[in-house]
Amino acid sequence: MRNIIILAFKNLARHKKRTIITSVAISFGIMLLIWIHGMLKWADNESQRNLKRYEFGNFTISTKAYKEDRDSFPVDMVINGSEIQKIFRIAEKTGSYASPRTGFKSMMSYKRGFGLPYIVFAIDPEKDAQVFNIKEKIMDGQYLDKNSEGILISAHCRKELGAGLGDYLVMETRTKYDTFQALTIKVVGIYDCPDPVVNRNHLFITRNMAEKNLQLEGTAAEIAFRTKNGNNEPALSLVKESLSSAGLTGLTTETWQELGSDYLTLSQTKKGGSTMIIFFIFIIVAVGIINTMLMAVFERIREIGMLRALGVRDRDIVSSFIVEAAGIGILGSLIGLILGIGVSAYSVYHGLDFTSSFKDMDYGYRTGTIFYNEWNPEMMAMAVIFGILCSVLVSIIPARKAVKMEITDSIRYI
Amino acid sequence: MAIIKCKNVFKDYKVGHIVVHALKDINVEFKKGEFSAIVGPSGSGKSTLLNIIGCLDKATKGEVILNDIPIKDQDKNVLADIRRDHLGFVFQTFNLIPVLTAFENVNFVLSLKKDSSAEENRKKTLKILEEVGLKGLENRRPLDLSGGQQQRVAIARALVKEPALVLADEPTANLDSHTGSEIMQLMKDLNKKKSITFIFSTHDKMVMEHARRIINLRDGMIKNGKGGK
Repeated sequence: MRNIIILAFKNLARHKKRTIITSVAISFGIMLLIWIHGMLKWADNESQRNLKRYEFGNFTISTKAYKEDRDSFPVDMVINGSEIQKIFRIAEKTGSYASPRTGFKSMMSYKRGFGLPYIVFAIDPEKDAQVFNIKEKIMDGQYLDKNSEGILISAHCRKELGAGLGDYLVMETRTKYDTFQALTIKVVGIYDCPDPVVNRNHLFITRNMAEKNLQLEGTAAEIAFRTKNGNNEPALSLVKESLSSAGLTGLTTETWQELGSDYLTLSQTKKGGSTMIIFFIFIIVAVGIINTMLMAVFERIREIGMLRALGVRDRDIVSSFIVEAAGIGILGSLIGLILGIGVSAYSVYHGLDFTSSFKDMDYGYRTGTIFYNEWNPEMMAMAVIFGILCSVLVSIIPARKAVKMEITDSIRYI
Repeated sequence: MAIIKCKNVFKDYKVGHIVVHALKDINVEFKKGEFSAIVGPSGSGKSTLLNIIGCLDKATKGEVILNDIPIKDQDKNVLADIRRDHLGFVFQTFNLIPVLTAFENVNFVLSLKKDSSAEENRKKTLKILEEVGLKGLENRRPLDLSGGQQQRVAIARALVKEPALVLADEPTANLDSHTGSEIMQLMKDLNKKKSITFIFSTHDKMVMEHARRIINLRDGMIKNGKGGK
């Protein structure tokens, strides 16, 4: 067998250009696999982080009625002031941060422009900054303070309405008692959040202001929690127990996974997309190897016949082609690994800016338009093994073809 | 003692819907140390007979016995082992492995057998290469050798494992007459020195002159010849 392996490796060097071209095709596939997988992994993890940082925290408490009708942002199915205080104590007990929020639908307009729909959240700026990261994303002006009479808008909203810092927007909405209310509010800060859902839809005012103008009367639609360890548990279980023991049976909890189930379902679908990418890369590798090995078989038919005449068994000839293909696979996979690490390293530290392509597109991920990569050593190892295995598996077809012909026909083959 | 016996051997080929009778009732024996030629015009069946004797092809009917081993119904792996252990081949187009040197081409067949050490194989290879007149050219690849030198490597490769029988299919057809004559003389000398049976096919008169026995094939049947049975 040793001589067969030596022969296989010598055959690799026989057509250097062909070996290199096939290896480059494989390495390109492996590089893509490592890079795309690392980028999708980053996008998925970043989306999940952003769901917690900008939309839901680890979990929220709301009334059961609000939970059922969450999508219409009702302001009359809310948690009352005394319940809020009890929940603050529960949060303290579980070592979590809690932020009361009330979201309501509003039409925002600037000067004589048409009104555009947004969700405005009434927040307690100090508490909200403990649960959410909006404060860190202020790009112009300042974050809200407790007594602020202004509004915090997103970079997207600034662009849509054409309003800037210090401009006055008109907010049209309904109060708790369903009466129309129109307010003129000064833009005090502009944030740029990497979560496109928040960036496109959410604006923020203080709870004090909302209570004064929308008759919220110290209520909150929901209270978002951020746990100290970053995980839902054990805080969530403790909160559930405490709600029950405090007699707050009208309230319920929802985790960020439940609240973000639309994204998580989409994420599962996207994983199917990743499988398709892997499949296409398999096709690249397979076509390259099959083509090279078939060429090798056809040009060596006489040689194969001679080897069989000398007494080399068919399975050894098949093995020699498989070893040869494995050699190409190893070479291609290792080059692909190096290229993959190089491209991933650039993306990990600098990211790739897809702003011009994804600017106004809903691409499904809750990320910004600069895509980074996440290191994924398991995937790198898998990609290399995949490249070699692919090469070996697909080479079996041409290798078996090599010994199918009669020896006498092989020897005479022109 | 007969190295090879062919009894009532027939070989039919199907070409499209037509059955071609390549060999018809061949009865022939070759003894140890013979230097024989199978001659005849193109299509007479000489290569077919050589292939059947060399376990490269199977007879449609009849019996072929090589070194007391009936080869007709053997499995393809057993046939591969028989070729490896008992037979040597010299082809018209040399059929050397282009990526291996002369030394490696010869040594390759020894390494297929597991009964000797690498050092023993190395010594045997160098010795046979010297015997065929290739001393000093061991590290050259086939493309760096002349046609005659390549055929010498092929002869060394056939002989290095000391087979019972060497089969040469038109060994001089791709060589000029002078080189062809040298190759025939070399095979004849090695046959004499090592008592290895040589059977070769040819339609070249010069080659026939070297043979001690001639089997004359016409239309798949043995007609007449010189020497032996």
